Amino acid sequence: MQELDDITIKSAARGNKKSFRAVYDYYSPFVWKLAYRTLKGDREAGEQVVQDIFIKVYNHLKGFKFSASFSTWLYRIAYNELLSFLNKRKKISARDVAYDDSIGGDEKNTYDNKELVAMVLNRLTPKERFLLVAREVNDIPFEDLATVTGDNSGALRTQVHRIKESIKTQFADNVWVERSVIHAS
Amino acid sequence: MHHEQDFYTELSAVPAMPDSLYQKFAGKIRRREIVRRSLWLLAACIVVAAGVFNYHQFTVSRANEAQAEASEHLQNIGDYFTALDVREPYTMTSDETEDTTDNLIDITDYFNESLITQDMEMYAIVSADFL
Repeated sequence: MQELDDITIKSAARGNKKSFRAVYDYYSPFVWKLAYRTLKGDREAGEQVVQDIFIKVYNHLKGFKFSASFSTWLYRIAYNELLSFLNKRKKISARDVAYDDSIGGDEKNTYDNKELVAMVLNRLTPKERFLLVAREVNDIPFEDLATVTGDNSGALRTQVHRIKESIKTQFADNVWVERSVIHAS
Repeated sequence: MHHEQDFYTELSAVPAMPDSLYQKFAGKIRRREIVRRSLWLLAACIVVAAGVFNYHQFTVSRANEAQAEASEHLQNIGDYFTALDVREPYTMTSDETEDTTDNLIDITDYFNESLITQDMEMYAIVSADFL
């Protein structure tokens, strides 16, 4: 991911609103994708978390030292904010259960792609969803992800590999059809 | 049957971020800024009010102290003029009493002698006049 120039970020840190708008415009789509997918498509919650993330960025930008890349710093805030949001809001998991039941209750063995993504993501933990989207959608390097999550980059590589293997197995076994049959019976 | 690739394609296809999101974010920032500034203003007002109150208390107590000091000085001056300060009873020690008694005796003797001498002189002058 290409970084925004330091001049704009420094200007935003000094309180320039136009520069902050530029920072927001540049990075918010990446943060939005992460939030939206980590929160399993909960648009309302996603909007709220993105706002909270950028409020934190706005409040702490003056303290940013430029020792690490800005995007890594931003993703670290996003990661912490998303996990704490999920910990706080247990009702999201309740919503997920309701969503699962509605899919299962249709007694169908084919799903559209949106349902497919929702079902696969439902089987992952928040951290796994974050890692998957950060790697596969936002293309964040493992070294940066290690800084974001505080884990070893080798361990993260293994973890992401396992997630992808699990998804691959789900498709190979065609678990979605089996699942619909179970629900139908 | 679905393919794994469909999943990753769909995973990337996230709906567009709402345009109004920045406005909401800016509104939140503005509101927090207003609250923050109001709290600072309130804190500053409390500090200033406390300062004014303490200054007032200090001035009042200082004025009272000055008044008490001035009245004490006036009392001392008054005592000085009315000689109240020297009318205080004085108690002597036994040695001082003895010394004083001796001195008084000496003084009495001296006066007596002086008076006798004075009488004799007067007598001599009167006698001389008669003669």
